[in-house]
Amino acid sequence: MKRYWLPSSMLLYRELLRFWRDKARVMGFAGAPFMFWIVVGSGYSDLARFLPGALVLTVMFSAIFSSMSLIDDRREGFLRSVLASPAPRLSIVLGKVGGGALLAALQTFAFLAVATLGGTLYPDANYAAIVGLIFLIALSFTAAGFVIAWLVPSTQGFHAIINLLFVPLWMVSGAVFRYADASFWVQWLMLANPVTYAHQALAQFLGINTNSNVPVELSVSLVAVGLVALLFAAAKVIRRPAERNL
Amino acid sequence: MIVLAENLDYHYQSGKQRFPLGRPKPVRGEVFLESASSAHALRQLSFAIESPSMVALLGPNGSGKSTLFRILTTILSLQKGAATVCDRDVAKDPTGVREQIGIVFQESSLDLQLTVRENLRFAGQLYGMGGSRLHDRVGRVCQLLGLEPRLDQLTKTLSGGLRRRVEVARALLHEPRLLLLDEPSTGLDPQGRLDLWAHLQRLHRQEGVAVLAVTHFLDEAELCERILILHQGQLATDGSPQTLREELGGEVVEIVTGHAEELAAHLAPKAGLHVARVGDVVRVECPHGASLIAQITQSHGEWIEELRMRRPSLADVYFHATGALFQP
Repeated sequence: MKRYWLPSSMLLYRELLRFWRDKARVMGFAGAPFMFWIVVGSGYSDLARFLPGALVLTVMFSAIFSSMSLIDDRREGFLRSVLASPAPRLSIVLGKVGGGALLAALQTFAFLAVATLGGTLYPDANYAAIVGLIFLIALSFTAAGFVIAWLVPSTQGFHAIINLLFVPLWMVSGAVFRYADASFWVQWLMLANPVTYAHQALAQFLGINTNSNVPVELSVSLVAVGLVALLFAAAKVIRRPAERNL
Repeated sequence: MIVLAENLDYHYQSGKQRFPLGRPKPVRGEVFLESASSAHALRQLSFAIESPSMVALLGPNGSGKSTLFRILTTILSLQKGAATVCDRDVAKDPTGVREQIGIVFQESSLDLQLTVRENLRFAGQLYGMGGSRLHDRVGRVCQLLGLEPRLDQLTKTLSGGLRRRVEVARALLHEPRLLLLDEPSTGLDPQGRLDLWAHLQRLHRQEGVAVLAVTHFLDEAELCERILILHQGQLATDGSPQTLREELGGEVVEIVTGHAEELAAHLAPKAGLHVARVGDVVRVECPHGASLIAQITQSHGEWIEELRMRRPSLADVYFHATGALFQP
């Protein structure tokens, strides 16, 4: 157990430490919810409906940018020393993904706190469930980012793949338009899109009437299954050769 | 047994273009192939390091020394043959090997945003160390490498030489039996180089750790107890610096001349001489330099522009073994 715990906790802590030492990142982290608050504070009637989508977007981008640290680690050579150590590969995945996800989740909590200040917007919200769910979503996106960062050698390539894959996933998750308003084939895309269920579950926990016949338990389970699959993929991919890893 | 290599064969496959996102899975492990072209890197290479000694691995570019380093550090999977490092099989028990060795890579693998202490502590945790054992070891390796005053400095503020020392300290944390270094002097100034090697020698003496260093410098190889010279994926020669020089014996005579080709052709058939031409220089290994010089000055005196004679140096041993001039 110690063999797993020590490397994982080290990599997680290092992720936080590196974040804290990078003052530009800290400023962005603290400033973004504040900017959001200025916009929200100026009045926006349909906010209640759009918040789940905004949260998914926030957690998605924060998580994916955190996972970019893998590319830095590779460039700086640090990854080499990690891979040449006897640390179990799964513990490396869990440490890196856990650290990135923790940062992404904290950022999203800040947004959530700003948006729901006072609590008048969502009287029926289940905040404990929301916090847990956001962690789950953050872990999933970070794991996905880990897999992509492992396979794509450059930052530019990473950005290209992210824009190609994740922005569309978010667009057809119900964050931009409702399921009922979509055309027939887009509805199928939405049903097949794992992000739809993340968005759906967030909306339901916030107490928004989504007119959906998917029970919230099923949505959360699907998100969890997605996370396990992505972690599995990350653990698989770390055993594979990748350009410039060593 | 520190290292045992038997009939190692390694062949780089070409085809970087075909697998832009990484190659298909080889036998096992995390592998990175940097060579884009197909090349036979190791051929039937066998050698053994039995006692914990200090060994230098020399060879021209493409001699296979980096491939060998990668195989011994479990970064590259074996293709053919067998290798054990510290009595663990590289192919069957790579994790076991990793626990027994400390690695210093050619390029920095430190986290420059962290302090020396953080770098060391984090590395220790990767090796499953924690608590008081880690604390004690961090103190000990810093004392060995003279890093105590730097412990809380950010690594990026350290000089190249000090960073290297941090890497050596990190490699020693988990008390490895073998320290593997890949051209550890890369990018260091002469003072930094001397300093690093003085530390390595002291570590070897005091801690009893075996050292295997790939190097580009003959004066560094001279400091080792044993030198392995690789050439075209095979072991060209193997022995202590002293023995290798003595084995070559006699003297080396170099004649600078505008008629190098003719002179070499004239000398080559003579018994006991080993003649080679390098540009305008005819290089002769011979048992009696003085008598050879007497002969040449008599027969071809008008061709000679310059004459040199010396006892064989390591560079000569290297030339003899590889047919290539030593170029650091």
